[in-house]
Amino acid sequence: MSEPTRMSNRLLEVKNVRKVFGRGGIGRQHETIALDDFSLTLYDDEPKITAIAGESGSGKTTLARLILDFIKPTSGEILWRGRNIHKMSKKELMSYRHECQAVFQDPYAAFNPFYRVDHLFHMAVTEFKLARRKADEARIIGDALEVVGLRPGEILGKYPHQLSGGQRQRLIVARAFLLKPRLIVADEPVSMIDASLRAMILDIMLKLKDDFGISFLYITHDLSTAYQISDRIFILYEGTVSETGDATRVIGNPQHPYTQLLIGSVPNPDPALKWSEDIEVSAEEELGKGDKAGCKFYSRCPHAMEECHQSPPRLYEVGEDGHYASCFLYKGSG
Amino acid sequence: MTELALKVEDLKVWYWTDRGPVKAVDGIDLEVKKGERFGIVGESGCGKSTTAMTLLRLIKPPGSVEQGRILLDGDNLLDLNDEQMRSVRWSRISLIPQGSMNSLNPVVKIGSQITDAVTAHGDSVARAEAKAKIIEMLGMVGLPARVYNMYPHELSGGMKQRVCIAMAIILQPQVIIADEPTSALDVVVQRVVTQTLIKVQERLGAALVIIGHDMGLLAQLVDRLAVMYAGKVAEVSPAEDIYKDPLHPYTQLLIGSVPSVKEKKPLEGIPGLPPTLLAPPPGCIFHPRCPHATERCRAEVPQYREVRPGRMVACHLYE
Repeated sequence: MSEPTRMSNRLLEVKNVRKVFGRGGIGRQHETIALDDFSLTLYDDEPKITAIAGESGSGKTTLARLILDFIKPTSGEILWRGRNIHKMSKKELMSYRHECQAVFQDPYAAFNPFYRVDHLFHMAVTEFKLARRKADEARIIGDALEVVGLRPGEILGKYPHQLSGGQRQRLIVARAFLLKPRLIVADEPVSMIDASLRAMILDIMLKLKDDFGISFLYITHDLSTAYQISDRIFILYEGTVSETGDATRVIGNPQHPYTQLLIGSVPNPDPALKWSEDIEVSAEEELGKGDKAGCKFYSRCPHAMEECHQSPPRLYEVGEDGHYASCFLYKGSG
Repeated sequence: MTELALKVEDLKVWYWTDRGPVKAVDGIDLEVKKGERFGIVGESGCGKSTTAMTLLRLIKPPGSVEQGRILLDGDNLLDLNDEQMRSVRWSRISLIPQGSMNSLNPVVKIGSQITDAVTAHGDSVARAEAKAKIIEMLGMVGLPARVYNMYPHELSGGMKQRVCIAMAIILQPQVIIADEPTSALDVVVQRVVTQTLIKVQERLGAALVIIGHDMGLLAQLVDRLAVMYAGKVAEVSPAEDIYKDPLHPYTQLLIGSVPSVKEKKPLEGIPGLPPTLLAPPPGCIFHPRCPHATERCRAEVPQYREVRPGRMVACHLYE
């Protein structure tokens, strides 16, 4: 993988992005570092589902909002096809919004209850000039609905309240697909969908990747679905990447003590496989989370060393296929 | 026969709308043994939360209890007047409601909020005595005594949830109902809260009814599990049996739809959608989505009965 030839293929580059909230006259103690030194590159010719996994407050939604240009980074850059998205002209930004779509958590909040669901599609067609004639519009909307397994006749003309959560979320995915994007940022797309209908949405994501070459940033707190559908994964903890790599390797063989705790805590759908032991999180730890100077996981880590208290660890290589963990345990390994 | 802590007989709870009744809970039977951890699992709209609220008689119009009995240690809760019910609530049966960590009053200190619960439902205890008791309960759920003087915003989500557990057990009820006790929490915190709940339940020797949607989480928790679908109980079985050998086709599909972190497998959902409870389908309510549906399932409602020792199911396959 020689760098120069791949330059032209770079779709999205997130370069050392940092986002600090609450900076202002009140003083540094009120600052929250939501995301720290985050980097990621996606290639146009290599569609992938990249999971960004973490607990609440880990910075995963901040990353989504940065990429979608809802907020601006404190430092670092986000490039789309080599252009900084926060410095784009109106025209460039419009084409970026065409190619990078979003799907959010709440399939109820995404609709205006006073309009029929057709409105959502009609708006997209008009805004991005996808069709000149009514017949063309109907055809492309029909095609998009078919891709997500919905029959236009059963769906169009209905109001949002007449549809189930699963149907609505599929509509949102169909609307995103309508624009033939290169990337869909999906922020917890299935966390409000029942288990029996969740598989359908995840299958659609896999299909869009395999058949249409659309990449996904799959932002989730759910490691099991991330394991099932994603190619790569980033595990975030308090704004920093604790571990990243091939999703199967990271989840199958976690190296960072935090990832190990996280994966060990996912309940197993088998009563014979219970949680190994009780874990104690003292209230003091819960209240005074994180270490200011050193590793964020210091106070909860079973392997904490003096060094971890001093400075934050960088990402060390811990395995094949770009498997990295930010932990001093692996300092010697590269 | 083991003694029962709670028995629900042919319970029907309907919500009345302009277009007729929505049969949220439509004739369910449940038995919870003393000291047992009993799970009720199902997807949105299956009636599990309505069941939880009904057990404490907290259903408000347009909802109404149409039929049935709720026997708590032999007393039918549906026969009690409001005053009697108030003295039963919290002292004999308590609830950790869904999203309860967000139900704490933001401007009242934790200690005062728990004291309110004690004085509203319990005997008139001296305030000093109540304080000692509350601090003991906070300790039981793993919180330091100083939480007594703290406000909710000073606590993390998991700590607030543990405060709600402390509040629910303070009068040492025989039955604790927990409606999705960890649904908004992260996996690690979920594990801590769940383990706290089990520890407390074992110490009190109370029966714990846990309502949830996550088959994986309930597997870690319960002795027996009821699977609800569209207002009815599909199956009740001991936890080990239900995961190894689920009887009802819905239970089988539900277990199949839980993604794993142990092995990669194609994701399986359940085709179709849950029925509208305004006009449920005739016959077995699951037949439109069932891979084994026959003519009989389309016409005749299956009887809910014991098909193997300790295993109850409502399905024509086992008749």
